[in-house]
Amino acid sequence: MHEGNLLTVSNLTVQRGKKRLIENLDFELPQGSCLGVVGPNGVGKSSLLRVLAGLDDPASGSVVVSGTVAYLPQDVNLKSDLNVLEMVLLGRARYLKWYQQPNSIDRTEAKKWLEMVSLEHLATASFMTLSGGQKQLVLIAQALTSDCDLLILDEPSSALDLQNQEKLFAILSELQDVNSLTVVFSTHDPNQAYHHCEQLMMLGFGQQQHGQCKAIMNVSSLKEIYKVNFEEVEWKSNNLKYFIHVPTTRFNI
Amino acid sequence: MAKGTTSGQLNSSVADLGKILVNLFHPTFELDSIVERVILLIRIPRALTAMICGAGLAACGCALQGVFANPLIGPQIIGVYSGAAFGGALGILISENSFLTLSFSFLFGLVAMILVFVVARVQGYTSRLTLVLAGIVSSSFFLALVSMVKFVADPDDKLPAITYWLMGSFATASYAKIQFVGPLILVALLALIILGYRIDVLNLGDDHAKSLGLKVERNRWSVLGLVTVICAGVVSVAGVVGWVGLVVPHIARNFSKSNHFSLLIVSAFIGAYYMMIIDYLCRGLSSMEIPLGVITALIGAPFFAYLLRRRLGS
Repeated sequence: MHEGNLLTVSNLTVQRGKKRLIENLDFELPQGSCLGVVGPNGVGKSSLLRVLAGLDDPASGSVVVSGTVAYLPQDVNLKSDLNVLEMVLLGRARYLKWYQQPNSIDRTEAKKWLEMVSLEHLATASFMTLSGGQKQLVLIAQALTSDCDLLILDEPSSALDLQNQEKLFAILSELQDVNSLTVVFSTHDPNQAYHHCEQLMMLGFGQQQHGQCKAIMNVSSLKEIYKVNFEEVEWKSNNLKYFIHVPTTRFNI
Repeated sequence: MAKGTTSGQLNSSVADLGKILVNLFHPTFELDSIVERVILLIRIPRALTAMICGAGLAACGCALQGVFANPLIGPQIIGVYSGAAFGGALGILISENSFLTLSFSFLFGLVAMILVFVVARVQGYTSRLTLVLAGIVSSSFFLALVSMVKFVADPDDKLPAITYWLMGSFATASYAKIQFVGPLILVALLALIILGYRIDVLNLGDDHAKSLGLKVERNRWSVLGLVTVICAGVVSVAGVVGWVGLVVPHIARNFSKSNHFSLLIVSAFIGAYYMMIIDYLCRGLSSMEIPLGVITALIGAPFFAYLLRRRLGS
């Protein structure tokens, strides 16, 4: 369900220190859609996401978001003594005046999203005792409790096992469909972007490509940005295309 | 509190305290006028001052540990203590008036914080690290000025007064001082407790808090402003009292929920009680009154080392 553009990026230049990473970027992202950002380490994926989230200023150009943004950093290994429900409740900060404490409505909202990520049974558990995957899901519930329209995740799957990765993307897809949530995430797995995103941003050193995911991701474009070999495989049981990294170095095992 | 107000060089009973309090509203009992005057005019204001200061300092420590996400931070770190210490020392140097000392102390506490603000804020943004460094700068600057004041002070008269004042004491507590500083500290303490939820958000780190829609700079400086008012208030009536703000929040964590709203309330209560006990020890351990700063450090330092080891062990 696309209801106009939620994110409009015009002539955007992103730099880290004095180094220009991304130049003259223009794109629009409709509400309820998903943008994947792929590229090698150090190319500027995280810097781009931080600029989109409004945490850093762009070197030039503009980012216009017609709604609220929540951002999940790459490292979710934060230390907090709060329990899970208290942690999720912090998502209401945007709506509470300085003298207000979260009330029963806020608690209901927090519990709703905690149920959405299937962690309601851990509501009173200490956040620090959770596994990396559970922490990630709690922080997603926190972001959703803030009623965000755009959710930006920096390599959300990097700390997750395969089962939790599947769960995370299933939840994100449902949120896109049911709540018209717009999602931007970066990843090192091209298949994740290929199967979950409508739009794709491919960042290489000195090159950038943006477009419909299915149109621009192919073996040669992946080779171009990652400088390694890829092969394409069509899986017969679900008719989906997968990209497999084929190392040039042979290992004799 | 009853024990604290009835014990000391002049001992009396808890029953005497009860009678004195009843007499306040309806003269009923015959009492020794010296006991009555000591309890009413010295011990009760002293106990109230200790409680207010203890509650304030403990809450300050708790709030700062939350904002900086660092359990090793205490109120001294932001430099207000040194500014207030310099103000107090300067007040003693230039005048005999204890209210001038109090006002100077409070004023220079605020000046120290303004200095931290000017040094730490770069292009409209303050990081936690620069804040701590600016606190160290401000602290060192005002400690140098304290040394200068001591250097020029009369060694027979002013220097001992300054030295004793800097070590902290509730000996000069009075209703007049409570009226001057008490409301300020209590209002700031209440505001700090109300900001507990926001301290939880700030505890997540600047980026995370910002992404949840919190105005990080505004909220952090609000907390620091309130902490400044409390610390400057405490130093102006009691001199430099270390360790309380660092130790008490760690004790409170054993009795409280982990959110800062609850933690600040529990810290304030424990801090009030803790300071009363410390003051009782200062008066009762020897025939001479031991400076407050000495006892808080003697108890606080080993206790903190124990807590640290226990935390590392778990």
